[in-house]
Amino acid sequence: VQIMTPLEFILLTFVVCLAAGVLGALLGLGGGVIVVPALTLLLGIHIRYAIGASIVSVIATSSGAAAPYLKQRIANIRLGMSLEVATTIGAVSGAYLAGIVAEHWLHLLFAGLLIYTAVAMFLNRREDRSDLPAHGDRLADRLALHGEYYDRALQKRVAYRVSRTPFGLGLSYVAGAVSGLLGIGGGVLKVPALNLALRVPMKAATATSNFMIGVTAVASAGVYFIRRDIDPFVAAPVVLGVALGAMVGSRLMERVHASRLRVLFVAVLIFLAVEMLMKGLR
Amino acid sequence: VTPVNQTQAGGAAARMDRLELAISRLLRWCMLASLLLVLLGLLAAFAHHPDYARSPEELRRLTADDAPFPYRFGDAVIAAAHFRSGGLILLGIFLLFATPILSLLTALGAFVLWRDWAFVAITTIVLAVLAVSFSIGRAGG
Repeated sequence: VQIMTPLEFILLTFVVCLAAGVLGALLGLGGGVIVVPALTLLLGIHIRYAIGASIVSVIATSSGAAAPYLKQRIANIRLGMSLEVATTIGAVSGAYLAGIVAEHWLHLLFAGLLIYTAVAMFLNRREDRSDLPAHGDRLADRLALHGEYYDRALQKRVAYRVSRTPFGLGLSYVAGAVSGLLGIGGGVLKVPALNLALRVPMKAATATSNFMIGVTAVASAGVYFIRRDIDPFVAAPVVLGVALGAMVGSRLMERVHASRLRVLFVAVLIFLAVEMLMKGLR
Repeated sequence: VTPVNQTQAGGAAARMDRLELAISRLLRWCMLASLLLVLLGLLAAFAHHPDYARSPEELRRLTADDAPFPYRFGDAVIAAAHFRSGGLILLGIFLLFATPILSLLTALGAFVLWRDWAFVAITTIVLAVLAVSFSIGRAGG
């Protein structure tokens, strides 16, 4: 960092985050999982400020991504809001924890997250598991969490029943805690939780996850902000880069074959994981 | 299902659609406005400090722990009104924080109007957790 001028720093950070945003949107991840290692490893920014800047950018990208899903009525906001009770409590505990654990632990935990994401991407279990037998769920019945949306690709209405809400609340707490601790949106945890545990169809799960991520990220951002871990001069180019990148990426999505990118991306994730691991063990 | 129930269900779906559309618009416009503020903030930084393009020393000062940023909302507004960079960037960040909170408040208003007390309670709990988050940070490291 020491040898750059502020202008060089801003431009470099912006470009790196722009690339992270494009990649994230193409692969259906937020940018956070790439932004944090890129800022710490490439630009030498302290991991706490990297996480602080990343969590701010997560609010922007999730708001941008959730807006069209809400307009098309694919997101289930009743379900999302119910689970937010757990994700926000998780986010606050995670963000609090990030302030007291030693720095090398954050590097090691992030390495673990990168490996998990790489494995999840490699296996690419994108098939929909919402057709598994649903369990009766009195909580979901009482709160009317079951949903329905119009699937443009299938050209029909898809109705679904939510099951195992209490289990889903538990998983949401964990997803929120990881998000708060490491400054990521956590869609990589929330979408499988919604689809596998709660039996929500993949499209509705992705849409609902995006809606939840903004609220979850604000819960941890509050903790980071009060602790002064959000440096405005670092956060500004990160937010602009990731948000712009995500907009470009979501428009490119229909033209790019994400499956080819995925192989490259898994390699990048593993490389970043090794680097993070070494930084944590040093 | 009797026709009366059908109308009720149709009404509930229609008003939920309206709420979702309102939140969708709110998220999009607040997000774009906050990005604009952050961008203006960066431009202001270089307009006020031409040396930012030359001196590496300045970066060390800007990213130091005691960097002079107006962290309070009131200070940020005053600084932004004077077209100061830190104030504009922080106003943008505050607006970004406010975006999901405003969507929760919109939903809360709708749930109160519909007398959906279970969801009034749920939304209030989420808002309360957010309030705690903006006060707990002081206790951490």
